[in-house]
Formats: sequence, C-alpha cells, structure tokens
Amino acid sequence: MDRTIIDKYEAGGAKLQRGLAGLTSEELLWSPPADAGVGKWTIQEIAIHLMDSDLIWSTRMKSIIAEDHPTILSFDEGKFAASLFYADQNALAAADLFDLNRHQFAKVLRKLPDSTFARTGNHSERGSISLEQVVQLVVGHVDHHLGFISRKRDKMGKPLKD
Amino acid sequence: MERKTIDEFEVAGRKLRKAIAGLEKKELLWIPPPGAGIGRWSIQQVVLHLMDDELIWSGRMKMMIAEDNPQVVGFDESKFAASLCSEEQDAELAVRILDMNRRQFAVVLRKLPESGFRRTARHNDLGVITLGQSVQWTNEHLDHHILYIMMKRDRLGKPPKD
Repeated sequence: MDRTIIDKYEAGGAKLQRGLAGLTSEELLWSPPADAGVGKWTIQEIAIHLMDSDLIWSTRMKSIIAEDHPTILSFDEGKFAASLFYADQNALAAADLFDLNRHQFAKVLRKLPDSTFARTGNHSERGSISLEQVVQLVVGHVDHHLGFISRKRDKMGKPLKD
Repeated sequence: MERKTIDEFEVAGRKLRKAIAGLEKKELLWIPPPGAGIGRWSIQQVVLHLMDDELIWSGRMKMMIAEDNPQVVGFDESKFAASLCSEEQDAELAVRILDMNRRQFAVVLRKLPESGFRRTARHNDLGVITLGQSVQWTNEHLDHHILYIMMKRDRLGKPPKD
C-alpha cells in the first residue's frame, strides 16, 4: 500500500480550513443561483456535511479494523443537510473538529501494518469495501467538495489563496 | 425531555478534561491490577472509549433526527480498545474532540422541538431507542466512566484537585 495516502488523509483538515478562511458568515451562507454551475449548497453546508460524513467514516474505519467484516449502514446526506440545522451550526468549528479527528485517527492508521488495510466492511450500498478504499474515498471526498468551494469563492469574488 | 439534559450534554467535555487534569503519560497508561475493582482499562483507554462512543452515538442521533426510524448497529467496545492502538493516540486530543463534538451537536439539539426527542432508531441489540433516551444515556455513560477514572486516580495517589 502507498502509505502517503495517510499523509493526505491527515492534511485534509487544513485544506478544509483554508477553504473557509477569510469568509464572512454572509459568504459562508450564500446560496448559489440554480444555474450558476457551482453546486446548490452553501459553503457552510459543505463544511458541515464534510464534518458529519468524516466523523461517521472514521467510526466505520474503526469497526473495519476492530471487527470482522462489520455491517456499515449508509446515511442520507440530503436529509442530514435538510434536518440538522446546518445554517445554525458553526462552520469553522466543524472544520476544526474535522481536523482534530483526522490528526487523532492518522495516529492509528500509521501504526497499522499494510495487511490491515485489506480488511473489509460490508457497506449497505457499496458492498464490500476495504480500509484502504475507505481512506482513498474520504481523501477524494474533501478534494471533490473543495473544488466546489473554490468555484463558489470565485463566483463571489473571494478566490482561494494558495 | 428536560432541557437541562442538553446543558449537561454540552458541558461533559469540561468534566472529562477536569477528570484527567494533571496526569502524566505513564499514569494515563497505567493498567490497574486484576481484582483491584476499579476496572480493567487504563485511564487513556477509558478516554478513548468515550471519544469513540461519542462519535458513534452522535452519528446515530443525527440519523434519528434526519431519517425515519433508521437501523443502527452496535459495536464491540472491547475489540475497539484492543485494536485501535490506544497507547499511540492522544488522550488530551480525545477530550478536545469529544468537547467540540458536544458543543457543535448541542446547537442542533437546542433547535429541535420537544417532539424531535421522541424520534426513534432500531438498534440491533437495544431495540427501539428514542433520541431523548440517547442524550440521557450518553450523559450517564460519561459520568459512569468518570467515576472509574476517579477510583483509578485515588489508587495512583493522584486525586483530582477541586
């Protein structure tokens, strides 16, 4: 296994924090027009979605490591965004929590032998999924949403800084 | 559900921080002798268990709020403690994660109407559980483990300072 994926996993929180840096609450809560081609969620909704999703994926990875081919039940991200008061939560605190959880779990991932990354869980929609695939998936998940954050920032004249 | 239960939910991170304050690494990692009657885990393992449990329960509670009577699955806490490299993780970081997660999720709980706390999930071991019960249990669970931390501290000759 390419263990640099663990470095990328750990660096995901800082990427998300940079994605939010310098935005006012008004900008975090800006809803793009339907035809803007930059996604329908606000940047705040993306940040809180990433926190919710990442915390759940980290608990799933723990089950894959500790248990034998555990059942992993999916959740409905659209219903989460619609029901969990995303506009009332704190996007910066969400990014900080995301970051701390990744730092903590990266310590676990670094101690595991390569063989553990072949361990699997049984996801209710995706079927059998290995720990390595999950780490790749959550690394890609941040990059996917950061692309949308970047486009929204461009649209509001507040481009991401390098 | 009494609203002060949400206040207790929110301040739990501070309680846990106070419970482990002033302990050195070797004290956090000290395993009680069998038969001591103060539990079999190190204080660090207790703290990491609380963090893991916290993230799992908050994921379940989000599902209860957002989805209709979702299925949730139990986890094996002994296998988690044995497999997740507990000595490599950081107890202070675990407390920060628990604390930030509770503060963030308390915002959601406070926005819910009373009826929201009667929403349910189907747990494979516990049967049908309500959101109100889940908030109550996570509070009691933390207090239960803090009691054991205190007994271990007494045994170490490091009682907490008021």
